[in-house]
Amino acid sequence: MQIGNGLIVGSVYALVALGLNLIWSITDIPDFAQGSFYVLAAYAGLFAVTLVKMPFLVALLCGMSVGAVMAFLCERFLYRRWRERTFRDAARVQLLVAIALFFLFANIANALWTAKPRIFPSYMEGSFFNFSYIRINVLLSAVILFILVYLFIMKTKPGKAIRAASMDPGMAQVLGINIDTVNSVVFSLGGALSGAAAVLVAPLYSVFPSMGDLPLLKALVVVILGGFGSVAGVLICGLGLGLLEALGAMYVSSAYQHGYAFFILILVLLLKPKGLFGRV
Amino acid sequence: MEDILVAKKVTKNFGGLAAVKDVSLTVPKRTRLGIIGPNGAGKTTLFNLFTGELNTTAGTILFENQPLQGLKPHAISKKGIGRTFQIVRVFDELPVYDNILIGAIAKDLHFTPSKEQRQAVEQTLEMVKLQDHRNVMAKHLTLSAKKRVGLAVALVGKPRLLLLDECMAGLTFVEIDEILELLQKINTEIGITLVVVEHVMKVVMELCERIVVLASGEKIAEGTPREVANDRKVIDVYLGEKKS
Amino acid sequence: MAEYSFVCLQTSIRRCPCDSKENVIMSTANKLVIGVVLLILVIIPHITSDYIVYVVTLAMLFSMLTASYDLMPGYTGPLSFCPAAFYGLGAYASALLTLNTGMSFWLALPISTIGVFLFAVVVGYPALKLRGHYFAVTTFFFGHFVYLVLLNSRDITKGPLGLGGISPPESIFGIDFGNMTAMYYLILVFGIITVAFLFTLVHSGVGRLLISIRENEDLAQASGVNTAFFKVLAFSISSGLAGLTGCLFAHFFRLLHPSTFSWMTSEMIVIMFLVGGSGTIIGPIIGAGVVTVILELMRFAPEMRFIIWSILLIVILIIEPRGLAGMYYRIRRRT
Repeated sequence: MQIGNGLIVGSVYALVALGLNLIWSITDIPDFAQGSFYVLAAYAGLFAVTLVKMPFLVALLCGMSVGAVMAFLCERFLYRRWRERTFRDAARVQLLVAIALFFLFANIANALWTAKPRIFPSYMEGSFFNFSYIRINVLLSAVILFILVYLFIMKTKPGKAIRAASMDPGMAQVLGINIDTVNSVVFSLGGALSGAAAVLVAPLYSVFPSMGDLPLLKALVVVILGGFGSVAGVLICGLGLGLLEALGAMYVSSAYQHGYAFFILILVLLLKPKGLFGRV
Repeated sequence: MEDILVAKKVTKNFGGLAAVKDVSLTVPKRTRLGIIGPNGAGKTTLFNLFTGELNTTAGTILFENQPLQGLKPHAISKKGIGRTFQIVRVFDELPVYDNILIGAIAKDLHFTPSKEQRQAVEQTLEMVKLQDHRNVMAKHLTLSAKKRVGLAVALVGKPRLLLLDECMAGLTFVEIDEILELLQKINTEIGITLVVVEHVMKVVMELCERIVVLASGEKIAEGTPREVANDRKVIDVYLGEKKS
Repeated sequence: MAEYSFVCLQTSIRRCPCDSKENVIMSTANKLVIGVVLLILVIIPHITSDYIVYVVTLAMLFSMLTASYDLMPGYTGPLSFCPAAFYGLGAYASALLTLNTGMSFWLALPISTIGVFLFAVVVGYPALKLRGHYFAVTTFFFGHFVYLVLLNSRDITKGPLGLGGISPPESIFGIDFGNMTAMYYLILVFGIITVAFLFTLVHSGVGRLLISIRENEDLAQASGVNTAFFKVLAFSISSGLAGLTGCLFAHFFRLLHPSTFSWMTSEMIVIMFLVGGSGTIIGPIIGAGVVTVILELMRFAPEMRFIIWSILLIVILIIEPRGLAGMYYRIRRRT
C-alpha cells in the first residue's frame, strides 16, 4: 500500500524531473522556475474546475498550458539574454535568474491567493484495491506522458533536431536547425510537464503556494541521479526515489521523510560525482 | 647520467579501452625528449598520468626515484614537475604579472610575496619577453602571448622537469621559432629537462635529442630523430600502408 | 551589460601589485569612504532613535554575512546557496548552549563559531568535489534541509513556536548588554573585526591563491595549489563567520524562529552580494545597507517583500551583475 503510494509520488517527481532534465541537458540551465510554474498551473487547474466548472481533462490542459506559456516567456525574455554565454559567469547568471523566478512566482501566488490550502475537488469516485482511481490515474498519466515525450524526442523530426541541438548547438545551427525554436519548444515542453504533474496531484494534496518547493527539490535530485539525456533514467530514478522515500518513512522515520532525498543525493554524488546514468 | 623520469610498463584503461598500454620510457636529466604519434595515440593521456590528473591502471612512474602514483596534481607539481596544457590555460582576469606571481607563490606561500619571489617573476617576464605586457589582463592577449604566460607560470615554479603538451599548436612560423629558441635556452642554460608532445615536425627534429613514438597506446619506436624518421613502422603509422 | 566576470572587481584593478598611481588614488578614496562610514556608525546611537539603531544593527549583521559570503563566489569561485543555514546553525547553537547549559555567552560564542566551522568542513569537503551547477544545487538543497531540521526538531529547537528567552551577553567591564545601544556597539566591534580579518585574508597570499582557483582551477592545481584544501578552507571560513554572526543575532534579537534562516534569507544574502558588488570592502556594506532599508520599508507588506527581492535580483542581473561597486568602477574606467 505504502509502496504503491511511493510509486505514485515518485511518478510526480519523475514528471517534473523530465521537464527539468530536458531543459538542463539542452540549455545547461537548472530551471528552478519550474517549481513555481508547478504552483501556478495547479491554481489554474483549480480555478478551471471550481470557478469555470470545467471537467478535469480541461483543467489538466489548462495547467499544462499555463506551465508551458510561463516557461516559454521566461526563456524568450530572460534566459535567452545570456544564451550566447559571452562572459564567463553567464551560466551563473542564468542559474540565479532561475532561482529568482522561482521565488518570484511562488510569492506572487502567495500574495494573490494566500497561503491557505485549497481543496481541489475530486473528479473520479471509486477505488481499486485501496487505491483511489485518482491515484492510479496519476501514475498512469505520468507513464503515458513519458511515453509520448520519449516518442517525440526519439522518433520525430523535431525531436531529432532537439537532440542534435543538445549535443552541439553550433553545429546544429549550421545545419539549419533554428536554436530559438528548439529552446522555445524545450522550455514549453518542460513547463507543460511540470504543469501536468501539478494538476494531476492537486486532488490528492490540496493547492497552496509552497506546494512546489518539495517537488522541485526532489525533481532536482532525480535529474542529477538519473543523469542527462536519458528519459528512461529519469523515470526509473523518479519512481525509485518515491519508493525509497516511502520505505524510509515506513521503516525508519516518517518525520524526516523529505530528508531522505538529500541523503541519497549526497551518497550517490560521493560515489559517482557525475550521477548514475549521466554525462554532465 | 641520472634519469629524472622513469616510466615502467605504464598502462591506463578506460573501461575496456586501453588508452596507454605497457609504455616504458626513461628520460635522462637535462635532456630533451619528444613524444610523437598520430592523434589518439595516447600522448596526452600519458602526460596526464605523469602529472597526476589520471591514475595508472598498472605500471610505475618514478620521478627522481620517487613514485608518482596516487599523488594529486598539486603534489606532483610541488615535487618539481611543471606542465603546459594543450588548450592554453591562463588566469583570465588577472594581469600577466599576477599570473606569473601565482606560479611563484603557490609552492611557497608567505603572507605577502617575498622579494625573491617578485624577482623570480621579473626574471621570468624577461625570459618570455612579456615585460611590456605585465599589466595586461591575460584574457586580452594573443594566443602566442598566452602560451608564453602559461610557460612562464610553469617556469617560475622552478621545475626540474617541464612537460609541454602541443605548445606549438596554432602558432605562426615566426612564433614557433621564438618559442623554440626559448625552450632551447631553458634546457641548456637553466638545465630543465624537457618532455615535449608535438605534431610540428620541425620542432621535434630541431629540439629533441630523442624521440618516442606512440601509436594506439603503445610505444612503437624510439631513438634519435633521424632513426625514428627512417623507421618503417613510424612511416606506416603516419602515412598508412605504402602503395606499390 | 557587464562584459567581465561578474565577481571580484579587485583582480583587474587593484590587485595588481605593480602599484600604479591609479591604484594608490583609489585606495585613498576607499579609505576615506570607510572612515566616514565608521564615523557615522559610531555616532548613530547618540543622534537617532532606538528604531534606527535597531535597523542599523541589523544592517551591520547583514554586512558581516555578506562580507563573509563574498569569500566564496567573490574570491574562490563556487556559488553557494546556503549561507543562511550556517547563520541559523550558529544562532541556534549559541542559544541552546546558553539556555540549556547555562554557559556564558562569551564562551558559547567561540564554541559555536568553531563548531559551525568544523561542520562546514565536513559538509564542504564532499560537496566541493562537485563541479559547475551541481555544487550550487546541492547547497540549495542543504540550506533547505537545515531549515526543515530546525523546523521539525521541536524538542530541541521548539520548531515553529520559536526559541525565546535568550539572555543577552553577560556583563563585562560593567557594561549591561541588555541595553540595545550596548549590543549595537558590541556588534559594531565584531563587525569591524570580521571585516578586517577578511580584508587581511584576501590580500594575503591565501587570497591570491583563492583567486587563482576561481580563474582557472586546473592551472592552479598544475601550479601546485592544493585546490581542494583551499576551497574547503574558504567555504568553512565563510560559513564559520556566518555562524558567528548568527550567535550575535541570537543574543541581540533574543528570539529565534526557523523562518529567519530559510532559503529566502539566503536569497537575500545573494542579493546583497550582487547589489553591493564583491571584491571590495565597501561593496558588501552598501549591499547590506540597501537591502536592509528595503526590508524595513516593506515591513508592512511581508509578502510583497519577497516579490520585490526577486524582481530586484533579476533587474540587477540584467543591468549590472557586478553590483553598485561594479557600476562605479565601470564609470571610472570610462573617464
